[in-house]
Amino acid sequence: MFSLLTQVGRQRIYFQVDSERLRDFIYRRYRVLREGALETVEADLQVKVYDLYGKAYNDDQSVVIQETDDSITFTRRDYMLTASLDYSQATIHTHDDFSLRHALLNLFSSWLIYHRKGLLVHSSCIVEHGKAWMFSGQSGAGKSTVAQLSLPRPILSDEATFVYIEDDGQVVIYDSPFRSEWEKPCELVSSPLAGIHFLIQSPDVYRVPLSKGDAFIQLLDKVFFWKPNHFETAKMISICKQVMQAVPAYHLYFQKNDTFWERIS
Amino acid sequence: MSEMLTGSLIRKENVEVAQFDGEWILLELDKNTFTKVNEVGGYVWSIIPDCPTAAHIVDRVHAEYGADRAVVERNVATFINKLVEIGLISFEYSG
Repeated sequence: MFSLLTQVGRQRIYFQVDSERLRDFIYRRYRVLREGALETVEADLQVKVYDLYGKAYNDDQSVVIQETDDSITFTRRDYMLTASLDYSQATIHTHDDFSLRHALLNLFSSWLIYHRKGLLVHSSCIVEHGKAWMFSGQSGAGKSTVAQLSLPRPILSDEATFVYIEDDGQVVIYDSPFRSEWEKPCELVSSPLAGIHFLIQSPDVYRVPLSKGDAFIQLLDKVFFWKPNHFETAKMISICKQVMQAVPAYHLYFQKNDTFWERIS
Repeated sequence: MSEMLTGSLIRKENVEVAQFDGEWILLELDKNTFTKVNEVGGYVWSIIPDCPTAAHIVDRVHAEYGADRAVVERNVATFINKLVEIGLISFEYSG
């Protein structure tokens, strides 16, 4: 096994992986603090990952959730994730990079919500003048396009934005390891969230402020979340409320060029 | 309204509430659906546990907002009927 201690936002994740391919995966996407087995593990999450599981992903996205007295298991045809009920210890059996990315996203999202620390949101996130702006939407909405068009601004995420609630209630975006096209960590570690844009492709470029209630409803639909039980769902809802109380939100009508930044900054 | 005045109102379980200024959103965890209501609607939802009948609710809304009682009665009846229709509340009749 290869042992790697990594940093994701304020959390430390200790990986033990059973192949060089998996070790390379961690190095490509995570900030590795050190490699080698630790005698005492001071990590928020400890994750063991095993290769060569199951079959390649197809269009069947269904995740089966089974909960026992001391563990919860998420199974998809290309991965199986078993975690302690507080998500601090987990074992993942994975088929390939795609499935491992999804399994880790599932695990970390569940950990954040369980500990009421934050959310992972279907969104890209770009930093402009020291403030983070989210651009949210489902697949095909233009999240990655917005990221590409925004270069050379720092990109904190291009697919799953890591929204974190600090102890003082401030909403901060941390660099997300859950990326689709930009694998390498961002040069910035974090930035305070300035606002959220929900993307609508349009021949004209303009943005329309949303009421808190409408923005909250939009945000709920964009959170990466596999509903294990009502209690966790209630926590997720509560975190979404906190985020929407803290920052403004807009519908951003945009075309595929960078003029939308003139409407923002 | 007469039958409605005497039945006890029961709120559905597993409904989370999000309140933003004058907007209230009722989220049904069982069905993954939401219902958006205005400030008075949210107030009515919040007082149902303390006001067992529609008549009690009319009294409280009338006292709180000071609107014409006949108008309050009509609006509360419409609102409660709508919540019954979508399954967010039900009636319980004793005797």
